[in-house]
Amino acid sequence: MMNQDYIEPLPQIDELDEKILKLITKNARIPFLEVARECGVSGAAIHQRVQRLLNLGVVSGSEFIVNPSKLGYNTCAYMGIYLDKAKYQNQVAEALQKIPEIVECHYTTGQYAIFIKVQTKTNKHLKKIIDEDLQEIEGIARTETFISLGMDFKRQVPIK
Amino acid sequence: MTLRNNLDQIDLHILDIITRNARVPFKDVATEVGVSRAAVHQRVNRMIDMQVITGSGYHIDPRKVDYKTCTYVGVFLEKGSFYDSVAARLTEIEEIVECHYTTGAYAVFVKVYARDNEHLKEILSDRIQKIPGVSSTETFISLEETFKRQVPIIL
Repeated sequence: MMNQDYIEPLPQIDELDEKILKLITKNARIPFLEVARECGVSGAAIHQRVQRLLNLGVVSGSEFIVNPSKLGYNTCAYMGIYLDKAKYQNQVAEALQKIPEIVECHYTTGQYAIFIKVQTKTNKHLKKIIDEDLQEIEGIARTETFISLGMDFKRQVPIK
Repeated sequence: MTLRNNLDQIDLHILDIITRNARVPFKDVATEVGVSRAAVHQRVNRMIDMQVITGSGYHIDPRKVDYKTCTYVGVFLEKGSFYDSVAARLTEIEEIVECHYTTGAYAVFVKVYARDNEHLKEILSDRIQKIPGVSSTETFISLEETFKRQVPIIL
């Protein structure tokens, strides 16, 4: 296999793109005309640029951000998952995706094969996920749980 | 009516739509939910006031803006009482995007985006480990983010 198969070329992003990104990552409903005014270009140019950033995959969509605790999700936990055999990785990841309370899933280096983030309503709800849902998945040997007692902050990556 | 902060089914339906696409016209949301556009505006504003909604934004794919390495780092403290001062210093490091106070082996658990492994090393050894009160760190590099999403609104 050629070396370049592993290298993803970075998309060309100029200063105007960065300025637009800074504005739209903080407020998805900001009128494009306002972005245009701040960047000193036309509204059409902003539309075009945002479309291009979407096409390039630099931005993958937009969302209103919800506060999980206000929706009754009071327990946030990280879990490290050990597998019986490394080859179960894909099938386990697929099964994890079917559990809606799992909001993030990573394939990691270090002692765990898979690392996930789980949001549940209560500790009892978390126990149910661990006891019933995760135990059902073939290939999982055991899990280790870290409950988050408090989230200090959460934000997006800095745009230089 | 649910126990969740007096949000009703209409609120949850609206949330379900706008958490998937923040730029969907409220007119379309109104049609789908079966209420007026003014009602959608009113309910969204109410949920913002109640801090059910904490903001909105476009998602950036970190890899496309040159953050190729995603890492979870468990931080050990010399003493538990250092937590607040350490957390304040961690906030100053822009590459740290998430910070939690956790049970289990680590006192603090953070998520870091770095340009590459060398940049990660710099963040770990020159910045995180230099914070007074931090005794050591344990690093888990994410080789692949299989998925990432928000909490389910309607279970």
